[in-house]
Amino acid sequence: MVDLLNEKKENLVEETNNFEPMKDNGSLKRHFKGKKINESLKIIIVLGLIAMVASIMLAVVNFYTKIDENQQILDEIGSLYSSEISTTVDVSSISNYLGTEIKAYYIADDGANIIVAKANKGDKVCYNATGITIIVIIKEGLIEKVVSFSHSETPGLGERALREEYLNQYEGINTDLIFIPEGDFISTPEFNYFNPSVITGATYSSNGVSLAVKAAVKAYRSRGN
Amino acid sequence: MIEKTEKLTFKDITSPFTNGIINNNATFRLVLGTCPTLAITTSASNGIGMGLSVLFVLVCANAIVSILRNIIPRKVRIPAYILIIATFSTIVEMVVRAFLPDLYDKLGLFLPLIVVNCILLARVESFASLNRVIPSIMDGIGIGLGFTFSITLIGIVREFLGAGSFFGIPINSIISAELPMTFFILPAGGFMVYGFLMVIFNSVVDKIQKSLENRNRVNLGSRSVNAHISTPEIDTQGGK
Repeated sequence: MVDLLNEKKENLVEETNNFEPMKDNGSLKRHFKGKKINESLKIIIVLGLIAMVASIMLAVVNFYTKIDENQQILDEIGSLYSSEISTTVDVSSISNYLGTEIKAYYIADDGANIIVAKANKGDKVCYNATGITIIVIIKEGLIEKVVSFSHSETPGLGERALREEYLNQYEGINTDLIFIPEGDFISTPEFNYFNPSVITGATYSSNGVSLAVKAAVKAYRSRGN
Repeated sequence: MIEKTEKLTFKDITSPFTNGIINNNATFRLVLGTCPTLAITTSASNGIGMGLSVLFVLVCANAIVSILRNIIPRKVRIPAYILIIATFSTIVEMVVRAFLPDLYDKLGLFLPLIVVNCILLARVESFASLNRVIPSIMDGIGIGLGFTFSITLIGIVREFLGAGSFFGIPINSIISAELPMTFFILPAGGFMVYGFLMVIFNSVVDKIQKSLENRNRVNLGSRSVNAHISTPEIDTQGGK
């Protein structure tokens, strides 16, 4: 430590001895200004180069990993339903229902309505931010199938509401029995209507599924069915 | 810090790797990256997914920062490191979204948040910016594997106790009893499992290290005793 200090001291003395005074105050200012400009320029160039390389890399990765959500939905439907899709309904004309959205609406050759509905996270609806997206197949006024498409509900907890055994309760239910209140859908009583069971410990996720099914049925009714 | 002119020894390359897994274990020793650790370890597969994502970003960021360590000006090193880390975490996000959509949905917000994971900035700043490329890569692999191992372990315990499954396979098929205790899936259970595993990990590692130290001491002691016994003979011979 002492050696290091002595060495530094010697260097300092040497530097002081070798110091050549600037000609005048103005040139001293210019000297430091030039140094600062050089430093700033170096910073800008280095950061700019890193940013440029980063953006090129991201552009290349984006090109190869671009995903077509509609194609993903069509692939999933293809694995679920054997009949070919004949019509694609414009979903922009369908009004969204209580924090839900209709992501896609198709009509199959055999007349089945295939609706992809998403319930977004809201008050007592869905536990995780991604929300719940389900595929609802309705044929001749009856719900034929409800299948989970994507969600991020906690495994072993909310995820239980997306399992086949829970979603099966909607199969064969007449769409007329699905009550669609305009206000708070959770506290509105559903006497004489189909009352889906709610899983203990997965209430928010069950509500999410129920809301998405209601949104799909509402979209189905909006087409004059 | 290894000087540029020095030749890398085998130990220089392997020690960052083993340290990263055991002595500098990000989760159990350094207690870094606690937020994603508690949030995503509700299942073992989430743990592996998150761990491997962090591993990739860490290795790449460490390598690039180590290569550019003499070029990046000190004043703007943190923004430069963040830029590099953000690039790789965005690449991971894009790749996972495209090829593992289920995992992408489950990890949710925590995948893009890798960019602010303090493990990354800590290793880049304290190791990669001071060391050469190969040790930096080995440090990234070690720390990344240590993190993956830790959060997968936490995920296995939480999933087993909380959801009654192991990597998504229900345990009921193996054990007839109803296992799930939802508490362990919830944040409070996460803290508890994390704490218990941290105690177990540290006590086991400390015990192993102490026993190794004792063995070394015994070996050194026996060597010095042998030297002590043989010294007078040499001395007497030298004296004569």
